[in-house]
Amino acid sequence: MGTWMLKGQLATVLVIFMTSSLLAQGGPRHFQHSILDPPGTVGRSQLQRGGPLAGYYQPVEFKALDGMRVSVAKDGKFQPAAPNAKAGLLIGQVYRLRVSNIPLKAGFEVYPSVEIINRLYPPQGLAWKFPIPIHLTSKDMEFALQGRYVTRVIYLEDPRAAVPAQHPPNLQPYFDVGASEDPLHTADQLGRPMAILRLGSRVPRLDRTTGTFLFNSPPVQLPGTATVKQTTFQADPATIRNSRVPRLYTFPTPPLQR
Amino acid sequence: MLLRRQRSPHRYNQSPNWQWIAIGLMSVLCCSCRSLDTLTAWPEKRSNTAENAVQQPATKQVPAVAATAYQEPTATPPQATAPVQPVPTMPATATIHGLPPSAWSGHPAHPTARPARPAGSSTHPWAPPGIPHPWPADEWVIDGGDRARKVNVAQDWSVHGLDEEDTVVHFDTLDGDLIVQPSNRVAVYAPRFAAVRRVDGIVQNEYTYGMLSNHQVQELERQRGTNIDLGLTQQLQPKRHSVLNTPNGFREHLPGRTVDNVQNAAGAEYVFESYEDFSIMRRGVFDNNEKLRLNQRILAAKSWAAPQGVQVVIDEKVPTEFSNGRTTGEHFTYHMRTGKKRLRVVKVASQQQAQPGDIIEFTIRFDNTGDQTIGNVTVLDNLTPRLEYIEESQTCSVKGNFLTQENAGRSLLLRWEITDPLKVGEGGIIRFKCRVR
Repeated sequence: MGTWMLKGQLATVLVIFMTSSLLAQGGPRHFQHSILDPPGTVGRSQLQRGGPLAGYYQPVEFKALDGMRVSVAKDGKFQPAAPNAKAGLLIGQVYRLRVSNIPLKAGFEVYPSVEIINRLYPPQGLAWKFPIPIHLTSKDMEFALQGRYVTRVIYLEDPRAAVPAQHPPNLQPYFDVGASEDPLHTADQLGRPMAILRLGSRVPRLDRTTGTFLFNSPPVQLPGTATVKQTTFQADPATIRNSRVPRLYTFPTPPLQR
Repeated sequence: MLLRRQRSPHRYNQSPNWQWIAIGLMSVLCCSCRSLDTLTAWPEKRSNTAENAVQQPATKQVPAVAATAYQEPTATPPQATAPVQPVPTMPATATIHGLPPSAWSGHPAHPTARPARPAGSSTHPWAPPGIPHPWPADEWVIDGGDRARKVNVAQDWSVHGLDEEDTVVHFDTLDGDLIVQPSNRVAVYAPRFAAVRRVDGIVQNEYTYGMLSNHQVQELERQRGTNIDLGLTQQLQPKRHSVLNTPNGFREHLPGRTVDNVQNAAGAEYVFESYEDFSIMRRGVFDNNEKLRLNQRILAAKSWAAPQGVQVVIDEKVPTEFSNGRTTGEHFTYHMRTGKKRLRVVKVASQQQAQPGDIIEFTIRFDNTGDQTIGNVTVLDNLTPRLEYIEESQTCSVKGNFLTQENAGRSLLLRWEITDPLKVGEGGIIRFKCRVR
């Protein structure tokens, strides 16, 4: 009896030591995602983690520098171009931009894409005062027009490890990484990645049937609009009873004219 | 052999089932760990079971500044409104009966031991349950308190363990003790962004395969694409230097003869701004009516980290609650022993949110709330990398020396050395400005 008890105690201690050593093991970090993933992959996987991410319109401010103008695609078409544009974008969706009036490149336009992969948690009423700034520089546009592919990962700095310097308002500090490094991983080590900006020189094909170029125009919340309009279908009893008219024509058009 | 012997039904029936004993022990361990975690993570759940429990004395690891900043126990002397009751003792994991759920209950502070704010009562939209505000921490610039390592001051006044964001005051007592008193934490919402860029070329996506053999040799038919520069621009020095001529004449400009005698105020000293216009700042006396506004200025007591949370235990003394059904408030009476030395430090900021480039004014109020004179009062504020001290912006209402020193975060360590001792009830106000980087 005593031998079995001793064996049981030894087994218990062994299990505890093994599990504790497993928990204490570290090692190199393995990142689930890469910057080479298709647009929208990182953001959609963020949504699967739960939390108040789905359905939240994260305010973003696009700053087109050096006299350029930017417009955001909404409802299948681009909004009027402006030097700065604010928009509330959904996490996990990919949005198309249009940058025009590029210095020394008259007539050329670049169509970057933006993917929001995380959100801020500001105090109430300050969401639009503290948007995620995404700077569009003429140098990046020049790279894109030369046929290169530019990727920018905008991240939130850790205040305890921030660069102790004062930056001008129109200069967002950035770090260049080599082709063998992943900017998403680098940004994750420096802070919290918030958005991914991708831009190249591909000429768009405005395929209106599929909408792939505009990523099917995800919903956009503009400043001043608290919520997205939700169309409520008011069924007409007569319409439902009358089967001569297909219901396809009754939505979202007004009720049937009797 | 051992496994085969264990799996034998004959041996299985005769053995005392040591496998089940091991499994039972592991289950007991797991259950005990979970129950311990539950108790430490949800203090409001423990309050229901703690009514009949007794309380143990407080430990000295808990700074008393937070309690003095909000509950004002020492500024309101005991007025004999409640009879002195014997202080019961309670297990460490239990909540004191009658105190708020966020009150310190005697157990060691746990990072996840703070209850989440109820929905709608906070300026923060959402936070994971059990995570204290401000959350997430990377969106806030925090200054004040004693963050990571505990600050220690040697007898030669050399300071050790002063982290960034720390704000402490150390002083000497008549007994020869050297006491370190941290302030509360002040959080300002100021996120800042940066970017990581990668530029890929077309060549980087091509693969180059080496040729195994070359069977055909083709000569060049023509040469193309080699252009030579036809011209060369030489950097020439200027042959002539144009001299800027000075004006030959001076035309007198006569101002108007009418002069208005307008006298503007050159400045104002020790005028309380709106963000610091509290009774605790003006006179050092805490007014309970200003508690809400004061909480907004220091982001509420619940937004502090756990070690600096709202405390209602002062110097190992639990207050005696006095409840009156005809009044709406709560009254806590503290019965303190004589001969105590303590310093209250309160810190507020002029803004609750800031953009890079904004200027924030900090105010530190310190008072000798003990009952003996203290001396060599030294105020230390180790600024974070996101805060840049504006030169010559500090003022101190009492006589002292001001020193600065660059810290590890490429910011400054501010140091005020108060010259004169602080008698009982005396205090001072320190103001300084910082620019958010």
